[in-house]
Amino acid sequence: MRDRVAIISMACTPFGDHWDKSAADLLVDAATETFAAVGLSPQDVDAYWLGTKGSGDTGKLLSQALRLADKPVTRVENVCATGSDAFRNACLAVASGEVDIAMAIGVEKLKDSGYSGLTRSNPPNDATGISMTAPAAFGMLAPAYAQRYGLDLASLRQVLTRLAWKNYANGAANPRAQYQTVPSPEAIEHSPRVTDLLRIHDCSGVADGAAAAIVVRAEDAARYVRDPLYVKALSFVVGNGEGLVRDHTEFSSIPEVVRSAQQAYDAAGVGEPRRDLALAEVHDCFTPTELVLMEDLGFSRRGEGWRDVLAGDFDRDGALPVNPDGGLKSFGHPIGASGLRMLYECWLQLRSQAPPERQIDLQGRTMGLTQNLGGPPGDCVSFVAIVGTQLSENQT
Amino acid sequence: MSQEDPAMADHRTLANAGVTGYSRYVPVWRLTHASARRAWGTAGARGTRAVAGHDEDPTSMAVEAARRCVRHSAPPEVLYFATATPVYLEKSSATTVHAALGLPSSTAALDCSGATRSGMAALRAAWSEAVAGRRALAVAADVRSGAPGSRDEWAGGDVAAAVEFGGEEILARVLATGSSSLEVLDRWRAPQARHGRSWDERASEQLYVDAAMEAIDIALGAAGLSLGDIAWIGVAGLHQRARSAVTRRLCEAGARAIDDREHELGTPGCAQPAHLVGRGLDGAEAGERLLIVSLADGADTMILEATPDLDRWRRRDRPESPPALEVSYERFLVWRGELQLDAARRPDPDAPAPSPAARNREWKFALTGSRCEDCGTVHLPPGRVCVRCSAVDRMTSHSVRDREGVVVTFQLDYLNASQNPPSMPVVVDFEGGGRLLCELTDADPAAVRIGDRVRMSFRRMSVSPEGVQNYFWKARPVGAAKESWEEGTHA
Repeated sequence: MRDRVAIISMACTPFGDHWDKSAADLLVDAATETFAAVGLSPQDVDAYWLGTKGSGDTGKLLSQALRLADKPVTRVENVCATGSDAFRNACLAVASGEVDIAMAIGVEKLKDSGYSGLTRSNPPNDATGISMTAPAAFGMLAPAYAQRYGLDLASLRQVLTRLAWKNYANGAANPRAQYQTVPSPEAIEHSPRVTDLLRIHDCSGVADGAAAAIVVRAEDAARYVRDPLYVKALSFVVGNGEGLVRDHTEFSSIPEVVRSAQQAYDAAGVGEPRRDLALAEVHDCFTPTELVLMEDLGFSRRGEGWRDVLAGDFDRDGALPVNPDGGLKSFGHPIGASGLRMLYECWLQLRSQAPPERQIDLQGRTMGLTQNLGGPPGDCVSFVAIVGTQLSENQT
Repeated sequence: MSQEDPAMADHRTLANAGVTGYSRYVPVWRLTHASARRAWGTAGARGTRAVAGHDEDPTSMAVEAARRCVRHSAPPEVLYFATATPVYLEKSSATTVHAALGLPSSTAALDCSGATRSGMAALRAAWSEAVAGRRALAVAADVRSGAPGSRDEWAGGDVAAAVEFGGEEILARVLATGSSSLEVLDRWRAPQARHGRSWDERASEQLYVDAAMEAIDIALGAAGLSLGDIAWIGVAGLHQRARSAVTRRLCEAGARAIDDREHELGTPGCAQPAHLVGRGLDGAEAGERLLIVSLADGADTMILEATPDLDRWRRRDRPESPPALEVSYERFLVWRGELQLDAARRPDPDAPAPSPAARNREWKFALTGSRCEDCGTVHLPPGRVCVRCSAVDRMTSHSVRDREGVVVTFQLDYLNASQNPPSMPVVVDFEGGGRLLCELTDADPAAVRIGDRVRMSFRRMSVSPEGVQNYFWKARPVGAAKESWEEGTHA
């Protein structure tokens, strides 16, 4: 996969409360901007992959929104990694040679449901699964982590607050983010309680939004843009559920993330992620998730992630900026769009196209990572992409 | 009205059937009468009552009582489930109890529902089965309610009790039974009504006393005994005045009243006769006789005689139970449907679809997963392919119903819709293998810790808008009071 496919255009709508827009409206916004940026029309694209968790059932959501003439559209759904999987399938199609130009586009219209947080609807079943919210499901990482590494709950709280504060601060500098203000650490810690450990400010928002990418074969990229982004690795581990089946499986880590990251590092030739990556956009659905991801992605040593967070290593001006766009915390999580939103930040930052006030110092680094998690620990899928501005020297 | 001859015949030929096991279950929750009194300014009694949790009903409580005496090496061949407050009409609840107990399909699971008298009916029916040579289990449970502020509300108690009858290793022989049937309108409840109604007790007090004395005389006569031969008496019934009068009269003859913790638990309705049998046998010496009287639309009596084997039963190993917890009057009203909580802006929980629930009944009702024959990995729920070694269709059944587990991690979920917030999802690792994400119940949220020991308990997860009861298992803390396991809680 390495360097066979290139991104030639991307767009991302503002994420937030789009009370006046439908899913179709958001798709039109994201697609139109993506086409315009590279001078293509919808008819120039050979095939489309549409990621949406629940805003549409089939590809028709896109074909009818864009009034596409005789184009294939595949609807993709893979829980919260839906947008990433749409991107992956578009890349695979291009890499196969069957498709010259493909679009991956993701959308979610969550604000119309009126529900608190994300919900799911299950097929008919025996109703032995428990009813629990996402913050509780991901919050379970926190006590297990604290127990494992002897962290007292007050220190853990400090770490979670730091993570939320960092992502709020990054988002406040990014006009596309849902939240534009930075709550104080005290406000974070005294916001309404969601679980025993998590406050409302520990949770990603609920937002509407869409994002899109056009991909072509790497050798064709120069026809469209001077500075494409090459796809270095796409790895996707759809978990077998082991973490909630096998007793004594560690609960302070997400094994699917560890394995998807290792596959991606091997494919992209990343030896030391903290040294080699210019930025990482990770799935900070809740603050404990981002803490555990720092270790599972190899950014911190086991048991050290919390120290690195407090030391500011993952701040926008830190050793490895994590979620410099504001992350799920500031953007909210329109599911089908989130994975593409992460790539969009790599698209801006690696090509030095971010606004100067929030452009990170690349220090010669050319690669960025996105990590998109779907489903809670033990019952999850993990996607990792690595993209970069340079073709590898040893490319054949 | 004499039935002495047939009863005598029973006694002579069938005295080798009797109680072979008994157990009880009391929910952890206690409502103080003071909390209801604070709300209404009424002069209720002092004490507490047992309250079924928001996730309990007569069926789930019956499972908890019965599983404490069922021996899977010799399972009952007949199961009677009695309740005056059934969760279903037309559909059996006894079969739910049967499924949760993991009993063989050849065990007949039969309901005695509706009337309070069903509690004694189940005991008599089970004993009759034992007389006919079959092991039979009677289990009874009620969830006692009353209109807010009423005497029924604070006087009731939610308890389940089970008594097993058979012909081997008898703990107490049944010497005789006696009945006196009485058509009287002292208490009634229309099928669609939430609460029962009662008439002035004084109108029927003497009728009940007369019925009780007739039924007692019949049983004593059949057993060839007199009142002076009775060591312990227990009088059940919702008619307080008649119970007091009958108890007084029997105690004047020298018998001692069985302490059934009524000041703490309340009056358990259908479960009271079986509860009295158990409480009585807990205190009886070998050779002592017990007279159980149930007053409900007449009187039914049973005379039992403790055997030396009783002590063995009382000393058996029993797992530990969680401590009692106080429920606020407000939550009690919500649990009883008297108050409606604001609807959470969350979807309704899943209701069981009939065919998946039937297909997965071993899992859903008996908490039976699978264990890989090749590598030993336990799968909860059961699966066909081993998560560890990938072997296909190499599974045997493995239940964690009666195994202890340890909390691996947890959260208190304040956002989830619950009648007893916060809901408490926990990951549990079981002794002997297996892991399950499930709910914790009967616990003080502030006290939950990683490493807590838990056991599984059969619960009502939710009720669908169509009235479908969704049952599954939850974890509950293992407490410190080993000796009171069969009570379900600390005394």
